[in-house]
Amino acid sequence: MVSNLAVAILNGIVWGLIMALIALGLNMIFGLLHIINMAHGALYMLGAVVAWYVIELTGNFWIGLMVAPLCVGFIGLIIERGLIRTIEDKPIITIICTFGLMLAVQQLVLMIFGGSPRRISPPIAYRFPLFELQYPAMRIMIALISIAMMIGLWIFLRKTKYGLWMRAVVQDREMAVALGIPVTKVYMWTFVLGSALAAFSGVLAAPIVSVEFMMGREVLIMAFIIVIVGGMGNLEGSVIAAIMISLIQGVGALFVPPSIATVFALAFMIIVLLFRPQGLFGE
Amino acid sequence: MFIQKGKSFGFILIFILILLLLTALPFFVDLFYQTFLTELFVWILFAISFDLIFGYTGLLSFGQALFFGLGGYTVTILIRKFGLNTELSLFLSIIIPILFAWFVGFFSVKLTGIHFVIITIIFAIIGNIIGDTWTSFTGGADGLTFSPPPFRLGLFQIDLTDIKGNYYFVLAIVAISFLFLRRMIQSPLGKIFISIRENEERARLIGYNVQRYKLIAFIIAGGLSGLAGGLYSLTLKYASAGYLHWSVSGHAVVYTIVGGMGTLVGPAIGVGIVMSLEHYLINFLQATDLVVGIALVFMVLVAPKGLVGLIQSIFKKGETSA
Amino acid sequence: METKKTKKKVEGILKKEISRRDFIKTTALGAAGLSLSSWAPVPFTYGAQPPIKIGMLNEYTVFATEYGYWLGKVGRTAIAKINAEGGIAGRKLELHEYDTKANPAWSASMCRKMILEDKVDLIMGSIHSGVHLACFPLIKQYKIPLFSGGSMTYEFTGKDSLSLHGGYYIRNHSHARSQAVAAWKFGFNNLGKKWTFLNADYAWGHSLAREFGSRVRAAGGKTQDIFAPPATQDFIPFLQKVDPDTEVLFTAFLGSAGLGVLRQTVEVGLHKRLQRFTVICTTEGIGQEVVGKESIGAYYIEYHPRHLDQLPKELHPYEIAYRKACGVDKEGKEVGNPKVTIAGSHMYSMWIYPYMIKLGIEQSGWKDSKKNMDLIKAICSLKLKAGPWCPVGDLVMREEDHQGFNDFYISRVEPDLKLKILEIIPKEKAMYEPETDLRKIV
Repeated sequence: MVSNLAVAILNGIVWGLIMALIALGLNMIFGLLHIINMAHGALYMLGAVVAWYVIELTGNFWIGLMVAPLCVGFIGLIIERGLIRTIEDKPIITIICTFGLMLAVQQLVLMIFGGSPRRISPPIAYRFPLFELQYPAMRIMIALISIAMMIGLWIFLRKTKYGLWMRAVVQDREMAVALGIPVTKVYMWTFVLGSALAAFSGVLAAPIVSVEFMMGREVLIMAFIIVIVGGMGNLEGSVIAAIMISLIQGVGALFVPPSIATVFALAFMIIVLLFRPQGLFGE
Repeated sequence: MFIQKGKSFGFILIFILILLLLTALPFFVDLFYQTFLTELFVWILFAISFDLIFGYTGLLSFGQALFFGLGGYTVTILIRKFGLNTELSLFLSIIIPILFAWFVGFFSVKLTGIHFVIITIIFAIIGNIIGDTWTSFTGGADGLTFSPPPFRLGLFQIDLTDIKGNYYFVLAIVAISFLFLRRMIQSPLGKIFISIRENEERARLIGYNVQRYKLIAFIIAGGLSGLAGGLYSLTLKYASAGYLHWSVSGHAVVYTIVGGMGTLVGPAIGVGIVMSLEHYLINFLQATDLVVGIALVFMVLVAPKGLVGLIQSIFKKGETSA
Repeated sequence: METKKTKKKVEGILKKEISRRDFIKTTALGAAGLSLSSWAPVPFTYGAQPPIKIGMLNEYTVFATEYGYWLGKVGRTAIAKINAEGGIAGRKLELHEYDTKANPAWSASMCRKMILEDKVDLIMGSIHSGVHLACFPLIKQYKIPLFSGGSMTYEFTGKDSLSLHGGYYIRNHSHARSQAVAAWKFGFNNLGKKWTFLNADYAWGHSLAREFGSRVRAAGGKTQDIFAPPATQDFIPFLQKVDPDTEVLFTAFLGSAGLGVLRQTVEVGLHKRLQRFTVICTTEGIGQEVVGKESIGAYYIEYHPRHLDQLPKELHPYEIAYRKACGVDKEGKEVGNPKVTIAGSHMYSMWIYPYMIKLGIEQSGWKDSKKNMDLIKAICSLKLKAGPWCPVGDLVMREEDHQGFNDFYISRVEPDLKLKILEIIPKEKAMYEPETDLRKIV
């Protein structure tokens, strides 16, 4: 039992860190542009699909991990410039627009990539013993990469000019405009960064899950839940919430059937929404 | 005041004309188009019930699938497992979703904007998970079939396995529901809904209990969505947990946006256009969702008020230039 | 494939075999057709006879698309081949094909479109039980035969058949019960007595756990059931629940979850202390190289081998021709597209149906929907011999429940990622007493 609990906790943290990356992208876009990007899961999937092609060509996981976010970031640029820009002041309309985008992207990938799941082999096959079970080292590495990415993001937001601008726009848009911050540019780069993050986490998750055109659908809902529990616009909150929810799910699954565990997690969400709509960790 | 009356007279005239046309139609079109239209009517009911909550009250609810599915299951399970008659089952397919809508709405209307969207999605997901897992009762993702006994109303008796009978049955219920919704929207209650959509703060300052009216709108929309679900399973003689999936609400969103939200007529037109488009596209292209997705993005960008809004703005331009 | 030990009922069925002359005639015809291959220009004129319209439903988008792709391709090829050979009773076959979107309600609409607008005579396809269930009220009302592409719900040919579909549902392939009847003993005798089922938490996963589990328990074994959501991505929380003394881990998931569970079992090292056993459905159309070397050592129940050389020698000529027509190479990959693996254990159903329909029409003198039940009865009393149209070996249809039986195969994934056949289980061992009798329908 102790060993099961240890595995559940370790796994919960690892999975939580991957989810945190996805949720961070979603939350950055929300915090700044105030739009809920329903296509975020599709971008996550797109990242994994692009990486699959790159890895097929080059045989190298790391190149895939570099290239896919760039490509998807570029697609994010097109989406922001072409679609979001014109409707960014109507939050409900953007939900519907990105919902349509999600449908279209999924179908396009199905037509090009095909429907059967593909695999990205883990770059590290080593497993280490953990009580009577084993645990894949790959997952630990994925967790470490996620942490590195988050630290990088934090430094970017705290120490660079763009990061400063972003935070300024989040706090007070009018004031930011008055101070001469190029707000539309900040919007654009935030959306690009958010899309690239979704793609990045898609590539990271791909060796654990499989690459498939529907892989973003369940993840999208999970990411929403994390963003809300952590607090919309609160990036640190998202990370904590992601790990917390993954832990609850992982440990909960030890004791009750998974579907019941999910229902409880969702009921918990409703309570958070009702009593702390700003999120558990919001001000 | 006079203009209002003239407008509503014109509406009634057009409404009766369309109804007459639809009543006569089964004598001219073959069976397939009758079933196609029957299904179209059901989705119109679903879309206009969504329009009440989204178009008129301004609440984007992705939870309508929950009530649609509940209505579908109410009819299916009551007839199949409890041997109830069709009349009572269909009646309960309004009542049971209303009770659930009361419960869900009680919590949901406390929230606004995106939080409301999310909480309704969550309720729908919970419903879907329960429907998927409780297979002994719901049949899960595979679903349940049943054969409905004839619908009796006084001396009338309608055989729902007969295509024409089913057609008139659904047409009558949807037409009555449409009139009911239209009447309600023109009533003081409807005006309050619209005032909440336009400016919630002001509605509150005037002295309306905004949450209470939101809840009323949510319950009515839930009941009608349930009725749509009940009619849908009566038409298909089948219900499954898939009815409860939040993406079913996405249908209503698509129809309403394409047609024009907050108009009632718009969503009905939206259903006609999108379903006909799908019907013809499916002959050349498997991926109809691709077209639906692109159409949705296109409409949002070009005509966020939908086709009805587009037509209205053209007319208005004509008026001002004249 | 001796039938000595089988029950009387089974023998009764086998006695009514098609005559030897018929067999030779059809085989010769089939061989001639195959040599023409599908590109040959249609050498026949069909005269004024209206075409026979066949509707086809498959999962082309949304879910289980790796199945839909192949069932569709094989169905199309088979119909083209029948047409190239002169159609059926001088009439051409006309195909009307739709996507189910893996959505039963949508499929019911498409089914109605086929019946009422396209006016199809017969419908075939789909591996989705829900899709078939949603179509049942329609096929029952309009008396249209529905040929199952690959749905595994045992109840569809069980005791409620008559009330479900009125006898208009025909299935020439296996399902959860026949799989269990055929294969549980192999697992019990060779792999272990203590089983854990880690299955998808919906009807299919539950019925496999029930059918296999009840037999294992009846024989004195022990079972543990774990159910996980059908779209589970991370299996570690479930794998750690597996009892420490479990000897056989039976898993049932579709698509990427099917891949994930096999791979992650190895990632946590479970493969060292237990044997993995599963139905081919879990990685059908995916290919072991996609699962990776983590699948080495896993046991599969196949309904028709993926690799040509694993098939009994006497079936090779038919199988080669069938694969050539459908664009499949000898390792079970699509010709010119080695990344695409066949759904070999399912798609053959779509190859055989058009032929069964042809024989059925010829024997019953069917002209239009008035004689649909006669056609179904003719089809369901067919005892197909191995041949170009029946590359899976002999296939017996059972009149009582419209269920077909052919041989099963137990295979293991070898270090070269090939599915090597260890044992062939003759169809007689998959048979169970029919639970219904549809012969009395008029």
